[in-house]
Amino acid sequence: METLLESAATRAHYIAIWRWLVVLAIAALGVSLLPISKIAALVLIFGIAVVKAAMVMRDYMHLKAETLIIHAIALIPILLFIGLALTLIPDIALRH
Amino acid sequence: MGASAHAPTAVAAVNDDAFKDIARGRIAVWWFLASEIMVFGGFITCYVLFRYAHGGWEDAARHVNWKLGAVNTVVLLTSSLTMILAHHAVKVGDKQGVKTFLGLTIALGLTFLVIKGFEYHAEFAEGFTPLSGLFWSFYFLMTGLHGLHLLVGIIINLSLLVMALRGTIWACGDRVELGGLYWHFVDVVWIFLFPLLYLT
Amino acid sequence: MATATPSEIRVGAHHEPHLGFLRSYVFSVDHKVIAKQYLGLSLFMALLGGAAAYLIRWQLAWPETYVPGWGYVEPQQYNAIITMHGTIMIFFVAMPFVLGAFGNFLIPLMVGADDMAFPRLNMMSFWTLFVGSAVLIASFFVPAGPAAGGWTAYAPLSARPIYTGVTWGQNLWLIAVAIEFASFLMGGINFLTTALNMRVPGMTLWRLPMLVWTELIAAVLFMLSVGPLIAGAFMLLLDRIAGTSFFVPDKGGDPLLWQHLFWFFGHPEVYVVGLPGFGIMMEIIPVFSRKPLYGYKTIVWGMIAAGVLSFVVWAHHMFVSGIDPRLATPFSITTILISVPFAIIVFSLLVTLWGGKIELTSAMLFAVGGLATFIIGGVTGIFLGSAGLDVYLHGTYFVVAHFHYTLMPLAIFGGFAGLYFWFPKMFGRMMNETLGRIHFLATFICFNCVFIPLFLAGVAGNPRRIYEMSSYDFLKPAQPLHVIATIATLGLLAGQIPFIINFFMSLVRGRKAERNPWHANTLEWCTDSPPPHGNFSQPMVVYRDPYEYGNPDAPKDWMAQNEPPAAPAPLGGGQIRRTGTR
Repeated sequence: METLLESAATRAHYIAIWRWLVVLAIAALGVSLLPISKIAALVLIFGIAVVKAAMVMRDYMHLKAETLIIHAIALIPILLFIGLALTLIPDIALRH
Repeated sequence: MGASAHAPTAVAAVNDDAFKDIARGRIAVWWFLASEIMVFGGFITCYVLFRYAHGGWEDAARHVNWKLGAVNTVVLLTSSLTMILAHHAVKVGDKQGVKTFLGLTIALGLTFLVIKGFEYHAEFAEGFTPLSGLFWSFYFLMTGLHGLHLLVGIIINLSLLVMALRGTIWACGDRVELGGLYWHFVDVVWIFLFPLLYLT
Repeated sequence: MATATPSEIRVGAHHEPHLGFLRSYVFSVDHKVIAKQYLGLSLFMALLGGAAAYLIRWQLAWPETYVPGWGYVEPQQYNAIITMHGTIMIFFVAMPFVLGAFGNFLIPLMVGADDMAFPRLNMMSFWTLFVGSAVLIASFFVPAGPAAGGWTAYAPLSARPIYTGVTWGQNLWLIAVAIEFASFLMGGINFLTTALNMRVPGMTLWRLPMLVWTELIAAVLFMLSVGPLIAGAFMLLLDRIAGTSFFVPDKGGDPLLWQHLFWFFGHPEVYVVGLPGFGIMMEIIPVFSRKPLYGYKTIVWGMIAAGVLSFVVWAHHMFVSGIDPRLATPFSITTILISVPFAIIVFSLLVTLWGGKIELTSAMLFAVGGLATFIIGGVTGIFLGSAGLDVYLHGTYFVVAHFHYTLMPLAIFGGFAGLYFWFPKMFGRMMNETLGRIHFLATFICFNCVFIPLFLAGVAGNPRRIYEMSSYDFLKPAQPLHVIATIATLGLLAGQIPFIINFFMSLVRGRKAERNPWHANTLEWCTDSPPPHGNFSQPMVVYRDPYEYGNPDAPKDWMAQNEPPAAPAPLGGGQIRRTGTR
């Protein structure tokens, strides 16, 4: 069991993460309205999404405190479907 | 917290591999989430590839209501906060906190679904249905499935809330954590669906 | 973590609770009962799949003649029958047989646990599969008949009812298959958690019996590969029901995408079904050679390598589907590469046999026969992996023969081997060896006589998926091969009759089995046959590797895994007396 002090710190940490998540969400909206090139906007928007997802998984889903096996279970499918998408680019995306 | 603490010492030496100390529930839920990652990953893969192949989906995407989508993003992010605070309340033994935060999470989840319902209603009223083109097919399929997942999460949280009200939740400590893992996962899915469908 | 309790190891037989009939035999949470339910379901579905094979082969040998017991096979029916044969045999026979029955029965016993990690989830996964089977069978009776787009349900053939004329049959097919996937995902949670988390003290990962390893890797492969196809199944179902066009080109959909999603799952699925078959062989061959399994760690790493590679070979099913040629070369290379780990497994088993005291029981016959047969399937796979040769062979009976030569030896020969081997443990009675050997001989000989002619027909250029071949002049020389294959199919089906007789006779009248009739080492042989509720009467502790057979320095030629090293006092249920005759 944590001490009272630690408990308050953990709580403050959770709230700080939430604050960042909201700030990043608004930032993504802002980027979509900026007059920058489409590629740059896409990179920024999805970069922000990845950071947000990583924060939720790391701090709310406690991935940072997990063991190797949970890390593997969580990360392998992500890599795998990204690999699937990349492999299919010549066949599905570039055929038309 | 060695799993083999009660085993003869001679055997314990060969038994200290990394897997046995993880609670079963967390392996199971993460395993389930991994299969869900592959399902949503499959949808996202198809969507991105088709979008790249066809072009011209921006015109369709302009008709989704990004303002309501943004509000929903904040609602869901906040529900993740209340969910983790409910888990925290279980951890520190805060009986009132568990009930409050589970209740808030459910309320925020329902808010999301209600807003989504208004969006659907407006889109149907404008004549956009799943048959109005591939973008709309993907839009309704992915947000619909996400909504169904959220509904399941709400039902899970309701059952947790009932357990909290009855006081039985304290006997099975990590259920709120496991329910939370699922809830946060649904949030993560939305974190990607929102830019994919609304912002690009 | 305050909430993370160390995984407790529940041991000791529980007092059998007095549950009613329903809770003990129907909605039981005992992994042994659930395993038998899977076994029963898979054998029942095998009857349906076998009947479909009979109709297909009859039509191919003697086209448009009266099929005894059925009538005439209409063209539309023929398409439906081949679709259902494939679907039933892969999803509702092979998977419940080698994963459902043997995985459920043996994983907890082999790691020394009293049950699966989540017994209620386990029950749910069986009943989910049951519902899936019921939906699939129901599709036979809807108007316009069952699915007829092939077991791969290629779009756009499957995406619009108008193309095959099938309406609800294909929808129910999709629903049944999706339910089946959900069932095995739930089962996989149990496989993984039990094998990782419920091992008794001393049972390290490197002491796991091979069957547990194979089931574990199969569960991982299944979970990682099936997701995109579930997504695809949703999309295909919407294409059919709502009229979207994800896979229909008229409004921008892409039929090739379905093939990619299907085979991204479909290829790992071959190993999901195949590896446990290998696992069964790897348990049986050391026991009846009285030799340790050769190269334990090499095999494990080989299987892990095969698992990783299985995710990057799927497009070899699509060399003739119009994929980008730039994809063909890398997929050719990976496909040929994946034969290396399988060669390692096969050679390890051959070396295990080498110089052993081989005892040809029915189980051993099926294991060795399956291994020999698989070699043919594996070698022909290398032909098909080469894109250039595959273009010629892919549409022919060569492919049909090839995949039957890989799946039958692993799932069916392996499954039968396991059944003869663990029947005493499952049901407490021995099977009849004579009938078992007759069953083996009939199965082995007839199986080869079915598919070797089909290899020849395929090399001669005989296309598959043709309803009626006699109307093509260029196929007439191949017709005798089809007649041989059909006669052998009849023999193969008739050859299962001794098994059915043996199975039911042994259930009732078989000789009572002792704890360890085969003098094997793994933990399931250290408890009663059949094991009581809770499996073990005493806590198990493991001291040894699973395959310590034929050690010249040991007093006897087997050392059970829980036998303490050179300690006179037995710990646990490890004292096994050599009783009975073999």
